[in-house]
Amino acid sequence: MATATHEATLPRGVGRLTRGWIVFVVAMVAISALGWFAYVREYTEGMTVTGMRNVGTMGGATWGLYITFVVYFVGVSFAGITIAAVIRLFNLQTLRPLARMAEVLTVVSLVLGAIAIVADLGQPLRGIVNLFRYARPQSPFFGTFTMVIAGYLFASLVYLWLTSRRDASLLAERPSRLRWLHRFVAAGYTDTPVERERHSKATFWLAVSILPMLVVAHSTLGFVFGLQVGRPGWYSALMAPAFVVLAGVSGTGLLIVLAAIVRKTMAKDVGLTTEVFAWLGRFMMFLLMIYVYFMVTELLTATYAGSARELQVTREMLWGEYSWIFWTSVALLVVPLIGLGFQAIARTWNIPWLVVAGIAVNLGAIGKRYLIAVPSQTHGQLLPYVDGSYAPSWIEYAVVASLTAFGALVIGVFMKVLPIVEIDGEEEVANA
Amino acid sequence: MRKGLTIGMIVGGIALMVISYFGLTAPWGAESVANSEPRLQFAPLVFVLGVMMAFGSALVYEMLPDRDED
Amino acid sequence: MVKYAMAVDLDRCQGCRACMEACKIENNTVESVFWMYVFRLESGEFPDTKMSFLPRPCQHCDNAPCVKVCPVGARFKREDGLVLTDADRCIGCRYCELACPYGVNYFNWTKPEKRQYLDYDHPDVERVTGGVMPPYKNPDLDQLYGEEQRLTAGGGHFKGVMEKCTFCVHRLDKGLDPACVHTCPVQALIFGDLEDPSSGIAEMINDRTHFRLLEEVGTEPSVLYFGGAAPTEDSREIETVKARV
Repeated sequence: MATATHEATLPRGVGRLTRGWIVFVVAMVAISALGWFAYVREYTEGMTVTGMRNVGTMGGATWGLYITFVVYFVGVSFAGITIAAVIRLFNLQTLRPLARMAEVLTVVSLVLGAIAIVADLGQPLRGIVNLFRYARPQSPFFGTFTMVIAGYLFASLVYLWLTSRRDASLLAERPSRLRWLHRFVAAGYTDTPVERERHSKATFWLAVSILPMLVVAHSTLGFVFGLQVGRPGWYSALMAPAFVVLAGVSGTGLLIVLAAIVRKTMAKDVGLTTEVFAWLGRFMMFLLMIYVYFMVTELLTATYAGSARELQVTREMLWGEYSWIFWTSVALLVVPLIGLGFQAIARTWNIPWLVVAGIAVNLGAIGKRYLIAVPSQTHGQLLPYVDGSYAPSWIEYAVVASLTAFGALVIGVFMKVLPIVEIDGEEEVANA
Repeated sequence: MRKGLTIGMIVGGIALMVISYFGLTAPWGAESVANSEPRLQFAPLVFVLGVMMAFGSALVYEMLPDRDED
Repeated sequence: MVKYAMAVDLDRCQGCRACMEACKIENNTVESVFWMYVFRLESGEFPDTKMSFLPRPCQHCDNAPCVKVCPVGARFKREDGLVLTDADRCIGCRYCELACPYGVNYFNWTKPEKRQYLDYDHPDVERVTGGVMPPYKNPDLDQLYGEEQRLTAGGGHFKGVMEKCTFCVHRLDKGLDPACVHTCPVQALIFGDLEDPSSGIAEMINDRTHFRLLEEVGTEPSVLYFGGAAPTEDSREIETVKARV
């Protein structure tokens, strides 16, 4: 165990493989493998193995769980980079411990979103080539894959790398099996004043340019739905802004959960104080309030002035086939909002409660994404087709579960390779 | 030299985006076959490379060692 | 310049669905796929109910939402008015299907061979058809059509791509009418060139009023309906498709 003692000197648990972590990795790999098995079946037999079918005479929904999770995953990425950029721009020192995990969350969820899109294509290999070869800017998908997948992901990776260099250079001073990697990530960083100055300038401008791009990127995803006049329930100017806000809600929720896990697993205090969680709680509360406001205005517009077809989709959502999903999702968003409100008024923040709220809003967000995609297909026909129905098959559940597991796996591995929480300027690496 | 390259990459990246979006990809519209054919094949790839070039300038700015400074 | 359009005379249509059959045989579409579909509709309260029929081919819109949203230009509008799908380019994202307000798009969820109504290779079937009629796959569907020379007639007899009504682009190429028009026993379907004043369809436009489906969504369809009335909120299907993939 000679190496283990060596690596025990690395801070933030880097390189220290505990039994719990190994169990976690094995479990996540197993779930991911199940998803691969499911996807290979989908690829060889065709998408008939999914629960999706054509709208119209075939009475189905042609976009289902995959698109729901594309939207959800890309949504989660929003909060990550926003919070990282806000911390940078406004120099919020107490929140610094959040920055790295927020960036990692963004990168991972964007990758998951991209994989989920490919899983949804009937011709995945052709899709990867043809999008780069023929893509048309007029299609709302153009923005999704150029801005979101390529631009946003690339920018986030650049941001993550630049902000990791200093920590990597500190780690590279110690001998360990990962030293080569730390040296590579550090890329010659030596922490001189000139370099610090340069780094702060570069990341400042990156943060400034990522923020507007992020609004564009999430809006284009909203436009995929919001520009379609032929589908009742989709055609709405509020679609894009509501996408951005709900993205923020789910991303912040997940960040709270991740921060709580990191806080629990780290042997020593890494600066994730109650104050940090309080800030996240307030941020999430603020976004939730905006979202609930959007939801009410949208429902009011649809029910007050809606045409018959528009009304039918809304009715189906409020009292029909989808009502249990709708009301559960609303409860999962509103109850945490009320809870957060009480905590904000009382100025006492309970971390376990915040974690529960974070999980709840994520489930609520998934439900709301599902309700955007599906009811307008099964019950939103403008011609008198009979109503359809959609239930995901086990293949779709398996692929989605495996994507989630894969994301958790990547974050878990990252935690053992680079510090998930930035190392303070004064903190001595050797003491960790 | 480092600053020049950074600014060059930003300007070049934005130029690639603008040129490929407005000049090289398929024109907007749904009237004719021409609306479905990019004017240059792989024009969207040029757009993506433009985005990457603009953001990649941060890497150059931070990592490229100065040889000619002071 | 040719500008193809289809006229549907609702006063003549008797809902026999022969056009649907003709389409299926001509284009070899598989089970549960209807490029041409005829709604059999009922409206009103019993006993004051009214029946009506509404044939629904692809509307070949002049402002086609499916063309606008296609991310790779696999769905495109030809200058002669046809909206076609390039089966070689389609990536199977199914966005066109959701953009279309008429529900005319069909995705190939599995290999089409598996879902034929008849197994044409089966010896019993072979004995009856003599291996001649109907062929499993119309050879014309494999050809490239139009100035653009794309694989459009076959729709999507390939797993994982979109297909829909082509106005029988392979028949138009030979100067024939689409299969549904050719088959209709009461000539409720009329096909022609809007730009040609002597064509039957141009004369119909001069003589009678017509409407187009869902004009309010601004798609500018090329299918014109004469006589009858557009389906209302009250219309409901009395006989729906049971076939599922």
